[in-house]
Amino acid sequence: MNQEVEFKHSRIIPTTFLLILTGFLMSFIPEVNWGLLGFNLGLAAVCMILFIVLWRVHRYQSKRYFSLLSYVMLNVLTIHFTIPVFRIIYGTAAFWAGIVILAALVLLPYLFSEKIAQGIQNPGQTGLGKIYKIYAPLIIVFGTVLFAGTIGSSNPDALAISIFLFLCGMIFLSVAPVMLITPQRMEELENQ
Amino acid sequence: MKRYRVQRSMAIIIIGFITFWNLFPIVSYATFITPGTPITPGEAITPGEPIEGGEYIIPGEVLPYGDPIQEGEFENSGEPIIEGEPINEGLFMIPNVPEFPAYQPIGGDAASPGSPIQSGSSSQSGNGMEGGKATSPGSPINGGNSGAGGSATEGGNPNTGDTLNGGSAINGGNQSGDGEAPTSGNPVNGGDASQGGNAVDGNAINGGDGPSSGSGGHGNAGNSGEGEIETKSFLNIALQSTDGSQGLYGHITGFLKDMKNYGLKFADDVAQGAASLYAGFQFRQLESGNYSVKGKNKLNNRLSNWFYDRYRQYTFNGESKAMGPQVRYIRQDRMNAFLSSKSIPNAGTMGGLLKNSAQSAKSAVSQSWNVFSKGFWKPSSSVKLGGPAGIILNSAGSIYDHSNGFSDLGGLATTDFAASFTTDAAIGVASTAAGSAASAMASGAVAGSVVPGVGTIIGAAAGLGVGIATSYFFNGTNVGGRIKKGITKGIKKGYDAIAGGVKKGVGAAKEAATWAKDKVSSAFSKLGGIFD
Repeated sequence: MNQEVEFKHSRIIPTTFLLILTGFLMSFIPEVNWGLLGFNLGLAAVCMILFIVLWRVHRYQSKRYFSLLSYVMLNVLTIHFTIPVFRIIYGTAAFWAGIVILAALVLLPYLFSEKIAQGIQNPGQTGLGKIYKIYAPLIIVFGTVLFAGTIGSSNPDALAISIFLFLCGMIFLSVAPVMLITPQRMEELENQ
Repeated sequence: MKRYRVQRSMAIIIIGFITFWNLFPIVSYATFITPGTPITPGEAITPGEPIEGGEYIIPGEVLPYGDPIQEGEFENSGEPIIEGEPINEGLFMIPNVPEFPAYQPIGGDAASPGSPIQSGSSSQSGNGMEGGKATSPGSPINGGNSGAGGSATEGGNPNTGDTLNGGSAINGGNQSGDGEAPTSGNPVNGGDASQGGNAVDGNAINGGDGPSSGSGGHGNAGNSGEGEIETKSFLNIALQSTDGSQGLYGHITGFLKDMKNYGLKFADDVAQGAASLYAGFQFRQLESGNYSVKGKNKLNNRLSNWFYDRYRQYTFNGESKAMGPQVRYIRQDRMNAFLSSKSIPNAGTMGGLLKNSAQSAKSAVSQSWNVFSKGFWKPSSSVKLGGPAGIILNSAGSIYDHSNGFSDLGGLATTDFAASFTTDAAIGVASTAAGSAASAMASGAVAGSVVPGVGTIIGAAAGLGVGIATSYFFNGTNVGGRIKKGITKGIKKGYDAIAGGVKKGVGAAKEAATWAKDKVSSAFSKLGGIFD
């Protein structure tokens, strides 16, 4: 829990590389947007600076450090993964529905972060845990339905892939606030 | 009687007064009228001299008629205009199936159908029909000498001279010279017809060089030429079983690829992770440094239990082990081995974190693509549609394309095929490596956090997303398509150069094979090494 994290083991470089990779790829869905590409890569660069700051502050608390690193990573991954669908459905009612869902999942998990944490650790014991347990496999099922829905279309474009990425982003968002819980508090929750 | 006379006299007087009153002013103003001078008679009219008769008019000589009018030669109006042939290129526009209600916009903008088909330049009629020279009336008939009568009869224009001198009667431009009579222009110009352009909104019809009308008279109907890179629909990319461009064969191989991507790998990972979460499977670090294993011994549902059992299995010192009812306390090394087998690097000791990431990427790439690795040839790799099966699936499309649907295998002996084959394999390597590396990087970061258990699902989601996006980048975007085409061209040049050298002898071929083996193994090693 309180092990020191050396810089070469801090995962700053691989995680930054991951964000650069996702930022690059997601800028090309459905087609390249150079402005968005610059934004995504800039965001990854800012994250790298943030990772370094986190490492300098929390390097003697490995769990805390990796939790915060994961928190930043998950949030940026969410941004990268959710932008494509908004680019595609912009101008339709579905766009606003997506905004509402995104806003809800940005805010609500912070209110129930401890319950989510308990649910993740013990899915069978809490309601939120059961929701999480069902939701993750449902992504596959729901994705299959989406694919089936696009079979009849001759020009489905990148809608299906962007929806899948959006759902992945929702998982990231729901998990992210849990990373803000301190290791001590998490132990208390596990012992309850 | 006397009285009557008086009354009559009074009436006359009154009438006289009234008449005077009315006429007096006029008379008083008419004083300017004075009598003129009396008319004096003039002189008597004397008759003039009598008119003398003129000389008789003698008719002149009879005028001979002119030569009959010779018709001019009719010029050939050129070759008849032949309409261009209808364009057979492109695909019929298949109307979209109505979308699911969930996708239909409510009140907002309707699904934008893209830009309508731009008709391009209309037919240019070319030079109009020039009427040529009008009929020139020629010289009029000179009436000749009319004798003394002067110009008695001027004949006007009875003789039209070169009346029907057709000249360039119907001048259809330069008809006789295949000219540009009516240049048909671009009958259906999909964007820039002459340059291919995007005929139907985007890349629906990559016409390449569109129908260049050529000469009007006997012009070419159109050269299809080389089109731009045709982008595939996302559906074909995401669900390759829907790609029917290679017929039934494409559907079958695509289905197997989909099974590999969605059915075997992702679903298996998530199902195992979900089963373990449901069973409450987790580790808890003890004060001694060892770990206690928590979780249900068995799940009631057989299918869930099957996934749960597989999740608890791991390899330790080359032997297959499993966490279970009898294994409730483990040491650090077994913990590391378990997390390593699940692509979840050790949360406690950071030494194995990056190492596991690198090993994950290396093994995924090596087992799937490196033909010189032992893992590549393991049946387990092919069962997972990796190894040789993966190579065949990912590259069989190139074989199909270069063998005319397996009917002419002669095309496989070309460097075109070799380059296409290599490019497909390289993209497969890139997608696999990117997805695997992303999965390892995401799960690795989460594994060190307060909730390491979610690393499986986070890693699977991130890895699958990056893998699909990588594949989409190369196959679904213009930029990626150009890169792919460029890679193929570059590889082909290399193969063309090598092909000449290999033919020099078997020895050279052996050397080339050894060289290739070394280079490929080195390349895969370096590929995995970037994550160290």
